[in-house]
Amino acid sequence: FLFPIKMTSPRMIKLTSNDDKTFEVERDVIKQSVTVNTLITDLNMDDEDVSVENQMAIPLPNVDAATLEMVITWCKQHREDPPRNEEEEEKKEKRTDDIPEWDKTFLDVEQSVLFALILAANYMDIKGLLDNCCKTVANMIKGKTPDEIRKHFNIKNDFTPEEEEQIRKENAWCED
Amino acid sequence: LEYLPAEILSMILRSLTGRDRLNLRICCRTLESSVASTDFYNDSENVNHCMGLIEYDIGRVYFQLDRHLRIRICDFDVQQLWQLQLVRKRLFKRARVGMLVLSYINFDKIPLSYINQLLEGCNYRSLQMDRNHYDTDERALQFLNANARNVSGLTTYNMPLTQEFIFSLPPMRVLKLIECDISSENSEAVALKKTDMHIELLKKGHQLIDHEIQVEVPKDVLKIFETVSTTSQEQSTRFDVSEEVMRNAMAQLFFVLTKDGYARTENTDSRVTVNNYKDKDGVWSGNFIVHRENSLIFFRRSWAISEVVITNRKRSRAELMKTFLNR
Repeated sequence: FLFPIKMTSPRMIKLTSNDDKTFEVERDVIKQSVTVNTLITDLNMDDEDVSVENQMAIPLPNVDAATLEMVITWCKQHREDPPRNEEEEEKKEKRTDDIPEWDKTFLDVEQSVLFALILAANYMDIKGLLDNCCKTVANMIKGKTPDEIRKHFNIKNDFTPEEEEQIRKENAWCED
Repeated sequence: LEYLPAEILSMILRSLTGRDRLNLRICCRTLESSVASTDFYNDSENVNHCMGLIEYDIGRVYFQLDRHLRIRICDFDVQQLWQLQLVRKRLFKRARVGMLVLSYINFDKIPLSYINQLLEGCNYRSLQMDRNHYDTDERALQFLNANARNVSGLTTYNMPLTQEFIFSLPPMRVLKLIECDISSENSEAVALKKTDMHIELLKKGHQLIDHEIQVEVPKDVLKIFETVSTTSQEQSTRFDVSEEVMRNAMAQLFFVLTKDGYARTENTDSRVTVNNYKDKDGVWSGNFIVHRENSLIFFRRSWAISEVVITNRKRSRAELMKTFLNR
């Protein structure tokens, strides 16, 4: 017997960036954003039988289009990831050498882009992305001298020589 | 980097070693204050990491690490002070904690210069003093006057203070005036109400002042602790509750309470000290102390509480919340 098979396309969600660009993303992909996921659930959008064209777009006023595109790319890449157990994550030893290779390449971007991603991941509450971004920044800091850190992040030293000396003394005291 | 929100900087800092944090401190003012204020004492990893180091006993000296490194010292001699100095170095090196609180020091026996030596290098100095440790008001005030301007944190208990003195203090990172009898030197002046005084003190640059919010305690919160076993210890009862129990209680109303008295948490870890206190009217009510600066009580409430004291004052929760929000 041959039964007719009904093909259902994946449910799509519309997201709008702060520069008014709209993105369509699979429901299954964007569930990694706790913020968006909560909104979808709270607004009962899962129950609505509305075509994507007529669907209300979720505004993300803190995220620009370029960053949102990157966030979506990251979410697509990690759609199959097992759900994070935050308690377990908290207990884990804080390492920075466990960033997956794909993420390392993905996050090898200009600092401004990386910081925009961090802010977006924080706003959209995507723990995995935020975690890997923070680890990437931590790796940039690790092992550097204060001068090297300043140069790397373009930080202006606004201490007076006396203040800097005082902090150096305190640091030395912490370490001796 | 320096413009990232504190919570994100804190996440980044958690992945860094002590050395890297210290290097970051020297970069600029913003990062210095971020590293100093980022509450990595809250970071369970750091706290757990330090926990093994704290059980150190020298007679009546004991060390206790909670969210800060807190060392309580009672009645010790000079030799012990040097032992303490060594331990301090060891603790600070391993624990990566930047805060040292010394309390219950008998300053009649230990010269202040020794204490200063012990505190050398600390980037935060806090003084806690209790009127009851001194024979007379004058002696207590004399000590306070001599030392209050050399610290960046001050906690007083039962001190007869004047508004003029309080307002003459330099801006503090933490200012706690507990059970203080506050008067005014100028008899013409009307004493400021507590809430108004808080606002005036914040305007003067104090970063963190304890606020009090009084609430009624519902019975279901009481129930949480009724099942917990207790052990008697002199005048107080101390017990350890599981983190789950603590979180439950915190989540409900940000405080804890026991069947027989009021609960006072020193931190949001699972240690609770219970003082034997009975409300004569049988009406439970609470008096919260929350950080003004980290007024995260509505957002990240588990870390918002520094201390919880339940007293027998009574006001409706809605009214109190309204007052708090209007501040």
